[in-house]
Amino acid sequence: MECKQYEQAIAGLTEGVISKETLLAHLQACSSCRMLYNAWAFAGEVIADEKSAQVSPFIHTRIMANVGKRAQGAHGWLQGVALARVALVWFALVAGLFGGWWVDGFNHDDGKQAVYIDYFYTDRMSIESGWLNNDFYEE
Amino acid sequence: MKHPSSDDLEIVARIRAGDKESFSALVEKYSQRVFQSCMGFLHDTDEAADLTQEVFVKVFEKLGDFRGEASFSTWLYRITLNMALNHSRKLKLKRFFYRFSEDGQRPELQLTNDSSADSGIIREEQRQLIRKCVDKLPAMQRKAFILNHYQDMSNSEMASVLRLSLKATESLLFRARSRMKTELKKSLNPEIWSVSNTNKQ
Ligand SMILES: [Zn+2]
Repeated sequence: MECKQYEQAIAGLTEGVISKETLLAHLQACSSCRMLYNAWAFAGEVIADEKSAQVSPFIHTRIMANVGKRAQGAHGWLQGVALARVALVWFALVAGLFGGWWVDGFNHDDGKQAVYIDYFYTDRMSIESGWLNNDFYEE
Repeated sequence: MKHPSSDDLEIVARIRAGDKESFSALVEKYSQRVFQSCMGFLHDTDEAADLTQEVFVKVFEKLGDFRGEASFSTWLYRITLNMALNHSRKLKLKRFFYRFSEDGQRPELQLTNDSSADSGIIREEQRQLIRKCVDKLPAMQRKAFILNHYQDMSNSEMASVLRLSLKATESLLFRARSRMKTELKKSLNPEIWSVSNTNKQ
């Protein structure tokens, strides 16, 4: 049997043509098919790794903030509200640092809301790492 | 029992009637799957998350064009695949120029005497080669390959998304795997592929 047929079997393009034992025996003797076999298996691992990656927990908030922005459009008067937003976020940060009791009361939705507001008024995605790395967001 | 896609149609109808917040349910339901497809094209979590966001914003804007001839998810995945393909082409160009921008040289694999450093570098080189093989698939084969391997989509679902017959979809997937094998075989440099295998086994 030629290497070409073994290669087809390695890539799962043929089934039942070559037995597992025959294939393994060939792999022992043929370095080129062995390399393909290992590369194919590693490709499966790389794909499985990428596939198992989880989307950021903020994606929902990011999308809804963007959709909200598109739906409403940018209005000048919102800029005034943006100042209140900055104050609100800073208040949350300071309160979180000084009050453990407050940490308990800070639920997931409040955190998301603050991030939502940030996404709505700015395009700074770096806000995610800030929220991910601070203690308030942990439950 | 109600078909799950009929729920989607109800949600779409509510959004069209002005209830923007209902879009949230669609994002919740499909963001991970859209992200997985984006990963198949971009191989980077940040890039894939950004594109996932772009896809949903686009879907929201285009919801008026959705006629309901296909299910919402089929329509969503079509948009995802097209945007991801375009985005990966742009990214390829960007990465090409970025690669040459620092010192005008293409970075070569540097081997040191430290065997653990070697295997780490070589492992990464292998990963990059595999990603390149996926990226080299022709557009339709790449779409089929990604739907199948990154989303575990059935052949009949793939057929709807790709607007092909079941038989044509199966043939496309076969050609994608065959091409993937050919590309992988072309990349088989013993210097790169022998090391990790001895480490692994
Ligand atoms: Zn062989």
